[in-house]
Amino acid sequence: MKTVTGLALAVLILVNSALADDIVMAPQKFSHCVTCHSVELAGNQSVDAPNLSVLESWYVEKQLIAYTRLWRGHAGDEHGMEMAPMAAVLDDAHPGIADRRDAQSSTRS
Amino acid sequence: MDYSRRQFLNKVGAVAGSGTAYQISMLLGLAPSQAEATPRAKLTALSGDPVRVIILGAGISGLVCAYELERAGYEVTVIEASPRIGGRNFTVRGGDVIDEMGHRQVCEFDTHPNLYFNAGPARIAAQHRLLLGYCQELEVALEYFMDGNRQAWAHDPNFADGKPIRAGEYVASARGFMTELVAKSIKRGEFDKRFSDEDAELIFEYMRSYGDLKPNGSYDGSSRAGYASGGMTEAPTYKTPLDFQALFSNFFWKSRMSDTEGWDLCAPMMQAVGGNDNIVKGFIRNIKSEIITNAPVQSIMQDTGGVAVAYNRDGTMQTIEADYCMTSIPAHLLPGIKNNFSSEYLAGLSSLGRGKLMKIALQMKERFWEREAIYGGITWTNQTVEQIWYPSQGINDKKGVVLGAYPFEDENQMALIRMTPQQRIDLAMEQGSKVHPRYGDYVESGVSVPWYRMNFMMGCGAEWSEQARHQYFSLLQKPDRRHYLIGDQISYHTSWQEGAVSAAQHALNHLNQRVSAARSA
Repeated sequence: MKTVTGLALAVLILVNSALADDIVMAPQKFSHCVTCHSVELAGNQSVDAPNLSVLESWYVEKQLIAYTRLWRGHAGDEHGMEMAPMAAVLDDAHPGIADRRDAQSSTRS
Repeated sequence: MDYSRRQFLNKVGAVAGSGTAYQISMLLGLAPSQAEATPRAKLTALSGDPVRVIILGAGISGLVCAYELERAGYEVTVIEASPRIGGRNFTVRGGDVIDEMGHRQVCEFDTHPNLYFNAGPARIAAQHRLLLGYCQELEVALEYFMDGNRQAWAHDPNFADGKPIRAGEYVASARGFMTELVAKSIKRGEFDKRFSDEDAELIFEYMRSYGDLKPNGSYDGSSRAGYASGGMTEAPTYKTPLDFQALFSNFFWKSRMSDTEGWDLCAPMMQAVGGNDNIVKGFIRNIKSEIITNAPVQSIMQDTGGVAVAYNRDGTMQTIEADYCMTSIPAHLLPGIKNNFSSEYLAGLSSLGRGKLMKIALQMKERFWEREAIYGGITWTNQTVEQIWYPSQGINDKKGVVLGAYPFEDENQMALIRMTPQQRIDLAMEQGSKVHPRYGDYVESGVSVPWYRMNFMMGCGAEWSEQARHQYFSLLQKPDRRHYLIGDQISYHTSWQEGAVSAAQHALNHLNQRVSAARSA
């Protein structure tokens, strides 16, 4: 949970840096995101990757969790289906997401 | 004498054989010509002040540029986002990592020189003159690659109760049916108004030869389809020709029966001995310039004086400056890198679609296909996996790596791309079992390489719409000030190494003229 919030905050910090003349690299934790969402996380329509840098932290957090549980990215949600495996990989880099998912799974079982 | 062109060719052909007729027909402009090879760039050797070039992307196109430029005296630096050099020229062997976004895989094939698969370009056509030239120059050993194989299967679950038939049997029946139709029309005199008796007779004989018809013009079967029985020590009996309605309801003619008629798919085709990444290794052996890997590009900024490229190396921003920049980074990812390209150039880059080619490879514990008289080549099946390729290398080895899926249809590609690696392998085994009994039982391990999801690429060969070709191809083929787009993406032969090599020559020629003109001014 804490990690997710940290991630979202970093997104917001990048909003400001995007306005600067010089490029500011995304923190290492975004290494999975930048290929599609652009080096400043401003999005890239060529690969249908939305602008993350303008999103609120609570929204980013909720979407990542939704992807890991396939609330988003299920059959019929074309762009979401591309994103869902990316969110799954955040298990390693972002234990906060995995913790939440595990907690949810154990509740269900 | 007032000869028609056809009469003239008949005469020449009769006297000197069809080879001569063909050569003369080339002179007359009657025979179709193959794709024109781009000439290999001849760069003027530089002296005096150095010219610095940054090459972004260490795929085939970037490696060709580095090789040619440094030999002409340019100062070259190659920057590659991934840990691996070669781009889509990727030979997968045991222990190799497949860097798919969200689904990192490690190949578990046995360690053996023949147990590999070429996840990207696998075949080299004889008309790929530039690439073959580099293979010769770099001493990359080549061998034949079996592409079309009449002994492989044509399989349609909706045809003949899903029983596969030999491609050769299908082709013989299809040709027999078609040529009989024409031959009978000729016999009935329906061609009278269009052709002289002599011409009609020639066409009739051509049909007989093409379809293996009886002297009366009927098709009653042919050895081309394989025998139903006998043929060695027993008298042969022909197979019954396939029913024409079933024949034409089969998917095979609609999709791939004629594939190997193409100039870039006809025999003989070739592959590098031991894996096509030996071409990459050939370039690496002969390039002295630095190739920096693990270095995703963050920005490409240019002004009147030069180009500055920033890249991420181990979490630290590095900047490098040069006079020119050549980029094979996929066009669809370039807008996501900070840049100051012209708006029109950016619009052009954004107009290219992402190719969806993907492959699944399966290590088989036995080469069961060879027991079915299949040695290399391709089975086509009207299922999601579409193709099954049998390895050209390692005939009679114990094991082999089979290509278990290589779909060309958009919906089949996306269906597989969206699966997990295990789901893809499960499906490949299930669908392969429809063609080969117990197929899944032979599978020891499998991997999939969906280029649409491969890190730093997120796409296979660029997809050009007609509109994009018309509007942007020539624009993108020219540099945006000091920035050149390279790679197969800026060719008419995408997803082929020859496209990448040709695009490199185009950019090199342009740069050479530009630098030479500046020097002589």
